[in-house]
Amino acid sequence: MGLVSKACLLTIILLPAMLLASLVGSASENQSLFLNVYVGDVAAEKALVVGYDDNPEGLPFFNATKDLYEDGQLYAVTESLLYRDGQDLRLEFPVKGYYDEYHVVFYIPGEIELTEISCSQGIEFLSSIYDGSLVLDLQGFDLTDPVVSLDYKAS
Amino acid sequence: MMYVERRSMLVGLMVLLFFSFAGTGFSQPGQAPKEAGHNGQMSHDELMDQNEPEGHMADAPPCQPLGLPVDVIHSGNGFAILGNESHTLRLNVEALQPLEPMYIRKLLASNKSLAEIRDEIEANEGETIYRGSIRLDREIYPLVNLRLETPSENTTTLAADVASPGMSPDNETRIVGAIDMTIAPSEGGLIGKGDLELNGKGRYNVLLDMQPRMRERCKDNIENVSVRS
Repeated sequence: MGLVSKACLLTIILLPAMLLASLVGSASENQSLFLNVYVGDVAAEKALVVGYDDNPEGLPFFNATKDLYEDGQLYAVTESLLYRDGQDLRLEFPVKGYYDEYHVVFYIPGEIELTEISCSQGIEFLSSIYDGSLVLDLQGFDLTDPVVSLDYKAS
Repeated sequence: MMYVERRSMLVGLMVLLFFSFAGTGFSQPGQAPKEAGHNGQMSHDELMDQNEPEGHMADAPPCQPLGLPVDVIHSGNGFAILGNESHTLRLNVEALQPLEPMYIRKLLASNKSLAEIRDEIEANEGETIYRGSIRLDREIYPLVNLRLETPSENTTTLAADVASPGMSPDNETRIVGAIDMTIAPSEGGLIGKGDLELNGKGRYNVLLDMQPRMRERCKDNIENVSVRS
């Protein structure tokens, strides 16, 4: 069988499967989340969360009367993600629901020492330094109730 | 010819049934899937106890552009075919507003209301930049040097280098392949077709079912909810 025929056959086989998979996907209301979390100065203990989310109800910190949500775009300021115990700080970012795609980038002011990162199975992270911030890029696919927790110290 | 078509359709239906009921989690040979635990749902404490995070710490600049997400312009899932092997493939490309974290932090520290912060951010448009990634089976690869072109109204070409999932020991971004595909309408949907080449593995044929832009999708969802209520 020629290469073209083989490609056509593959298309014939896989196309209906993919279309059905997408129908099944929309039926189960799959959700995506693409957010940036900008942590304020250590003293402020608040964070600005900006980005896209299909379902803000899955975000425990979301306050429908105070935060802004329009056509999937979210702007929220919250103090409920950050916990302080002396010099030790903890940032917890739990989300409820099933997410097809999950991509959260945390920007933490540079004057800190990161002591621990914990995250749900399936989430991969990459850290870097940029513009005076520690940047933690966390990404995963097909996640249920993903949780990320960062422990750090003010240095 | 009719026989071949019928046979192809039959095989297609079998594949379809298989994907519908058995799920799409093909594992890469030699890569065991991780246990999801209680039907994929684990308590917070269990998650924290059992999982070691997978990732990489580096005091280095990021390998991908950074910015504020303004839309997810391409999102698709489907397959990468290499010879007789079929692998699940996901792709997403986000549009970003190139704003410096320090600028956002200053806004946060100001006495501005959230609406004023949003208005100021939106007024600072700048040139949109793109960030993308693919997941082949269970491995996530960042896309770098992402190029998007629109040769005709409904068609987009996407080309990018594929970076290794982690960073190299010297904190350099390591290019391990390239992806080249065309996204165009097909049979009432949007299909992405092309090639994915990974060093040491080979050239895969790529076929993805693409979703509408996230902003449009969210707008539709909200309109549907309004109509229902």
